[in-house]
Amino acid sequence: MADCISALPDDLLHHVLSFLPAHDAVRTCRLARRWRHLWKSAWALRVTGVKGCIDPERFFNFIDSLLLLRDPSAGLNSFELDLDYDDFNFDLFEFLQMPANELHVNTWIQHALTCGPLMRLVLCTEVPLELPNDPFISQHLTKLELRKVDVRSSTLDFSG
Amino acid sequence: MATREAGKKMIMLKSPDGMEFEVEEAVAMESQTIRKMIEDDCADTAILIPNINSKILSRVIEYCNKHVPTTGATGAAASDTVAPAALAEDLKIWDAEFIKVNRATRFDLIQAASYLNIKGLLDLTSQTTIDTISDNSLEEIRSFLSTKNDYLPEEEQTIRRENQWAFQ
Repeated sequence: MADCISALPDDLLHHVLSFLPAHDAVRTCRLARRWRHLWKSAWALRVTGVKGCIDPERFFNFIDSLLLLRDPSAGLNSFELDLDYDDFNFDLFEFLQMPANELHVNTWIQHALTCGPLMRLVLCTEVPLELPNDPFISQHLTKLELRKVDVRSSTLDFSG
Repeated sequence: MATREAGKKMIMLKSPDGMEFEVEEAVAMESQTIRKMIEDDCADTAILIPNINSKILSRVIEYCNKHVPTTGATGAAASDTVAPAALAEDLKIWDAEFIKVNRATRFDLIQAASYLNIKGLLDLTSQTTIDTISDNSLEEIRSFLSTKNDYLPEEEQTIRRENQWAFQ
């Protein structure tokens, strides 16, 4: 029996990490050696706003690094982008309205799909964000949750 | 512990420290691991649960008893008479009380929930654990999780440098 969480096997620590916002999950690498690389192979990523971050470029770079520095051999089952306006200390609305940034968000989703087998994809944002026309084609996806997302109808075409 | 009721199939769960718990089969089947044993006919009337002591096993059974569909605390008809939303709210309050345990017990419950494959209990114990991580300093998190910092000072510097892109 474990008297210390570090004694739990990796898959259980990954499960625990899956509940944390990504920026907190990455931070656990500093706890102890046992935790150093754990976040890289967690099966779920939950991106939320980071209180105190006033630089939108830095926030975008963070998510880029998050996706790129993961262990490529570890599957990603769940990707959640929870961009709640109130969780940001910069004007998320204005930043996401720029076409290049809209496209950038789509790149994250496409990347997450290639890291799969992605079974759960959650997008939640109050900011009107028009996703490009690429359908979210994935043979593994069993749950797609879109909250307050402004989508074109063809985005939800899974027939391809 | 469950009381025997007419028409309900009972099953005996045994902990490695020799305690026996008689539970309804439906309650035991909240555990996907036990469900599979029963469905595959690998289970006799008694099942030995290795690695989970009686203290933890009794808590797990308590959880399953509460969460098994149609047999809440108010009896078999609970889900017919109580609105699902009210039932869910009641379960949430019950869960919050249930998980008020010390750290060691919570980590034992995580392991037990994983072995027995009880998703609700695994999520509850994991969520409670991470509630201690958000918004706290590294030192506080280490203390909450009973984790000892075994990095050398120079290693800590390297890790901090490597992770400058993150919000450390």
